[in-house]
Amino acid sequence: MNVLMIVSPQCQRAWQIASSLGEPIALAIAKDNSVFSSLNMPASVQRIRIWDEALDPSSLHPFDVEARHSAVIAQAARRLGTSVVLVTETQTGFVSAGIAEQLNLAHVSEVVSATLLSDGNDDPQLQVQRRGLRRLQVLRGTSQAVLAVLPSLKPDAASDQTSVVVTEWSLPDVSLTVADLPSPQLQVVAQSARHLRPRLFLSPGALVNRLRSDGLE
Amino acid sequence: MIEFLDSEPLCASLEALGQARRLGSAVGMTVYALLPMQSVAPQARERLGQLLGHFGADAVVLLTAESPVHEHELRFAPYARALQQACEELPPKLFLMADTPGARDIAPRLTARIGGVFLASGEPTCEHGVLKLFDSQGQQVMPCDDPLADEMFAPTMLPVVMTLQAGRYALSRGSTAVPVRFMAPIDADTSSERTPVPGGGLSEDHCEPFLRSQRLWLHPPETIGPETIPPLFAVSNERLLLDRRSVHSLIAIGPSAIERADVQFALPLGDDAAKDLLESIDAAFARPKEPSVELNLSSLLSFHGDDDEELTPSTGRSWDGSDIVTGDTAPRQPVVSSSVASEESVAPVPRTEPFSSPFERTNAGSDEMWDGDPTPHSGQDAVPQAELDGIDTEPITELGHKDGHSEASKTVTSDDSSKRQEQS
Repeated sequence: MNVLMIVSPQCQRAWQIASSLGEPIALAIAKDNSVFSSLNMPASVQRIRIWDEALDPSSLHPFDVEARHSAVIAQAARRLGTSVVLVTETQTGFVSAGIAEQLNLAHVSEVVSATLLSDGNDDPQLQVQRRGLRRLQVLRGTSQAVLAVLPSLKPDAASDQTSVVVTEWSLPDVSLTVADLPSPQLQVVAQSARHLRPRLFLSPGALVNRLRSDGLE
Repeated sequence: MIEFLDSEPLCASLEALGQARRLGSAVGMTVYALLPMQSVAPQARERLGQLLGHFGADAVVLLTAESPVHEHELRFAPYARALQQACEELPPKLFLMADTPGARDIAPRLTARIGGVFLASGEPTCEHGVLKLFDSQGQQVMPCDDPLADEMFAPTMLPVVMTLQAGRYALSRGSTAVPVRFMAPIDADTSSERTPVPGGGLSEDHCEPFLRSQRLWLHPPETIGPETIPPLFAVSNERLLLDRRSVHSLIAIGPSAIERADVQFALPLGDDAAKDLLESIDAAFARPKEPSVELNLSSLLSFHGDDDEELTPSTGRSWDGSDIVTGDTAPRQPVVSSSVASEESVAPVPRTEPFSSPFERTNAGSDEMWDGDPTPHSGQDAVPQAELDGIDTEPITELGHKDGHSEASKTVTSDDSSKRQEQS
């Protein structure tokens, strides 16, 4: 089973899951190949890089960037025929949900780990461990899903990727044009310098009371 | 959307509801509190209306899960259809949730489903009657007009889904009971391509323990591997960069904690007190938890079978019809005084007793902290003051009075704090 994994900072956990689920395909939306150097993958792993100026994050709000990325990744998944997509949680947190919506797949966030269960007779089932507020929730179901994996806390290790082959795609390679990408939906009105202050607690007991009321037991 | 835990709403959810109340009153929007719940006994429904009306809701909408399996953690799939139905019948301008693991599953997927805009850890405020939205970077943003809106009418703003960080906003308080209704999906056809399998293809198999020591990091563990689960709550540590992708609530401890903009909670202990922090935290957790909400909602989650005749999902009409089409912005109905209201009263809203603060204000400086609360008690039978004037929709950026702030921001020792705790 092919597993599409999106390469991004701190994606070692996603890489481990992808490797355990099947044949990983590493895909990145980036201007150059340096993005792959953060991950120590075998040379045999298929690497795909997609780029177009319309995907440049510098000219759009992060939400619009992720909306566009999700459209491109969903198309890439269609072309590759993969129905399991692994994305490391992003700051905005929209890209995985956007992919799932376009591919009409289940979406699970805060994923800690995932395994494929097979008893030989039926189709293999996906078992996903998800971080909840009070428990680690174990979900089980069809092996078609978009998983938003928690970032690895271990710093990225630079690796030499000079000799590896990276397939470069542009928008037409995934049957898209710039006009097909979602139009920007957010405009920045002002770059204000808002400075929020934390809520103050003057004793550990008071802080604990608050954390308890937010679900920490 | 309100998240419940052990029959009590999360404090962070009530804060989000409080901000929704202030925005609703200032801009002119109706505040619906959506509750994802398997079932609610009829006798508990009224109390839900009292509770969430007290904290700012104009109405309570109970979302029915379609998954046959009760899941112990909140996520999008079991409530997908009910949420979509709610957003179709009550098109939201703003959809607010506290930033929790459940919200991180629900909010972005719902955004994609309804074609809205998602702002994680955003800030909705109001200035001069105009809604202002800020993203997590502090930039003021504005959603574009809905491209699908009918050109014959005024363009409508795309719905904005936001998660709000815990601790940023004050609660809202009033004394109004509000109606409670069920919202269930009209289309129960499981063959629909939108949700091929009830529960979205994956359903809860079981749960595994997630220890407190795993959820709260006072110090990072000695060894961190690629499989280490990030904590939900963590004390900010220079040695380990924890951002909002992995941690929900960051805590700063130390003399300069109050100046930190990147954390939600500050504990300005001196070095001496900080040494005993671990023991103090453990001792605080060892004490029995005091109920944070006065109402006893322990029976809310119990299923009473045939007793609940309204549990059957309605088809196409899950509201009383007064505000579905127009999405009107009528203010909450004032509580009718039993001595004044006649039997023919048009608004037979039951009188409710005022609530005191739902969360213990044991933290020193709490009076200052809660100064941002715009809905002080203004009489048992009055419209909440927030609807009349003095609405402050800004997040808590200052901690109240100057005196209180200066006193609070200095470094304190555990002795000082315990004395203040006793005084408060």
